[in-house]
Amino acid sequence: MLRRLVANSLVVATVFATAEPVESARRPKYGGMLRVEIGAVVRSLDPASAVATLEEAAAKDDLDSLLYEGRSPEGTYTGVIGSGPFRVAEWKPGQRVVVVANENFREGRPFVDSVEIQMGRAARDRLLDVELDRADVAEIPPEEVRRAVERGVRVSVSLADELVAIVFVPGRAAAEDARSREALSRSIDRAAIVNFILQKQGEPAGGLLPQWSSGTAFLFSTTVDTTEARNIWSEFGGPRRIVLGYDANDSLEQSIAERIAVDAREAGGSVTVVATKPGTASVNTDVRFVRLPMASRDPREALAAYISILAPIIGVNADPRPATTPQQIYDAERAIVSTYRVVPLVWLPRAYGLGSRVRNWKAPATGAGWPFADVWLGEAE
Amino acid sequence: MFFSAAAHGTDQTTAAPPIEWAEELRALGDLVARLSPPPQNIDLLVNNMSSLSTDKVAMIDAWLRTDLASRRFRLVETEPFDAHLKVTLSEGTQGYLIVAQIRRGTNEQVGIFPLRGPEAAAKPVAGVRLEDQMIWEEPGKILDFALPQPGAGAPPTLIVLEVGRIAFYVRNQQQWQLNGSVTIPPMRPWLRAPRGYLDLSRGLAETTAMLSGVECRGDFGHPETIQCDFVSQEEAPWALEEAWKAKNLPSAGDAVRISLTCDGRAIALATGNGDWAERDFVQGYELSPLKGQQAMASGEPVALKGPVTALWPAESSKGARAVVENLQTGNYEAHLVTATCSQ
Repeated sequence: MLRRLVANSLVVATVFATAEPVESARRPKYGGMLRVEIGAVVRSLDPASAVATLEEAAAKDDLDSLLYEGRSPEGTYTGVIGSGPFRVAEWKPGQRVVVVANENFREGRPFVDSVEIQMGRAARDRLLDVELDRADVAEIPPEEVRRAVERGVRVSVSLADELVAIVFVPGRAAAEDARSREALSRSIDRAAIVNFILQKQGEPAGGLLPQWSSGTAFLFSTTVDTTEARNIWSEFGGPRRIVLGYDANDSLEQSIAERIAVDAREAGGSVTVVATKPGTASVNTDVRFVRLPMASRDPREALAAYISILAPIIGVNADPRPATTPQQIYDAERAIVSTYRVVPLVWLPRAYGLGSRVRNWKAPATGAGWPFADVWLGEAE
Repeated sequence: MFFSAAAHGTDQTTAAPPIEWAEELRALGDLVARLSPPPQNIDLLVNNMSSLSTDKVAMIDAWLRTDLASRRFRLVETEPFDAHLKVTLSEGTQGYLIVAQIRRGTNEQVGIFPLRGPEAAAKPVAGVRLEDQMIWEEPGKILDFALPQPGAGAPPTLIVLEVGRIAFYVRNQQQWQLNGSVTIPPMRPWLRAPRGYLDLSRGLAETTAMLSGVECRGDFGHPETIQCDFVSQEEAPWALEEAWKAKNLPSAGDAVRISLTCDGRAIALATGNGDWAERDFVQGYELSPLKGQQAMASGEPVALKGPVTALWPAESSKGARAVVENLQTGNYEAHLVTATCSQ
């Protein structure tokens, strides 16, 4: 039988500090610093400060998930900073942040004592560091996953839950011609983007939600239709020039943009690609990229979030009634996609290289941040 | 996977036999009849993109054909067609779907019918045969659960030990309904990987709930009598099980002895030894009566949708209670894994 102790706070503290008396290799261990490297640069943790890029916004969101207690259904973090599994111990804007375990976190103290996150690391350096066990967790671009695996890196890939699409900028001549928009959409070889540019990481996208979430993505064609695109463009008596802007700092966007230009040319269209700086994308471009992480694995919530983001960007009035049944979700998705003002291209997964010490790693769930609170560190192999 | 037409040119008027999801399939038939009123020549193709078994899809295919024929549609494989009907069994995070695409000329209509999830059928195997039954699931961490024997005329009850709470449920109209709960107040935050155990070996009136450093005792038939105190963990049940496992099934993750013998051999159930980011399983083992002999895996394992975070022998059955963290849903699930000796 268990030996009863005097119930006072001192004794209780000792009991909890000793934790489990026997630990198998399978059960988590406490302690250690998790070393993380990411490509994005976060300049401020202030919720009110603006972010320069979608990449920074996504990284800031992940950081917030470590620092705040929870998230509201609307996607905003709740509680005060430091109420989450970690609190900030060191902060060098844009370079490095160290967070330490919050002993009083409602869901239990994280297994690791602290997490050091280095920002702005180049993809090549991140891969090398995790390969040499100088980093425990490093973000890997999806198109680099195959190479990382070939080099023996342990790689974790999430469900494909980030939509990459192009959107027509309202008011531009090319954007206001529905047939021209349709021709561009039909001319794009999405399978080639997945197979060659993304090295088979990701899925071609015809609709806004992936098959694993909605179950109806297969109803949206992802097949290239060069013949029909050519027929449409021939109606204009010659190719109509479309300017496609991509983020100058995003090599993936650049590769996809160049592929779209090639596809359009084969179908008799004319797409010019231009590099743009954040915040200037819509000045001289007819079409630009959007990268939209799913807010939730639930198709109802994910679609509602997508529509709330896309409707003002593409200049359409979204149906205010929430789609709840699979039929309503499909109909709402179809209504947006059939305008061709947003042209889905691919769904991307999030990929991470993992060092040999990392245990209990689960690829981040859709709509959730980094899972560092559940990770524990074993012996390096 | 495609199922080609099995009956062409049929004009049967017999009613379709009873089948799971008949209501949804009938609604599909109604939609087809509305969009393309019979008699019509229809080209039917059934396609499976879901995890439903081939047998189940074949059954749906046959049912649909019978139903459409009874509505005076002619299911044909060759021209001329009045309409094409493509039925896809699909699934998303909300469950299984039947998706019907009805095409007449260039016009296509889509009808989507959500389905309820089917139970997986157990198949006979040699050795220790395991059957898995999910009792309960919830978003929060489950440490242990118990299904005490109900008294005469009393409804079944379920006790769920959670982090900071003991919840009591009563079975009512095929559903577990919360009947009450006891809060276990923490003096400081709970561990991230706390452990727990419900000991009903002395009956409901003398039940003990053990957590890491806390013990709650009382008559669990009368939750208001339950008192919690702080205790040491030197002889915590998980420490004893851990020691037994290390000696008898060192390669397993968690392991428990159960009250079953097959051919004179004691049986144990054990989990895999992967970490908690992986899907897991429960496997039956035959323990050798000879000293120094290793336990042997016996029969087919039960596959689970996430790691088993707790495994305890079930008092009321020859099996074990398993708590599973479903990696798909994120929910914690209470499973009862029962074992029998197969011939």
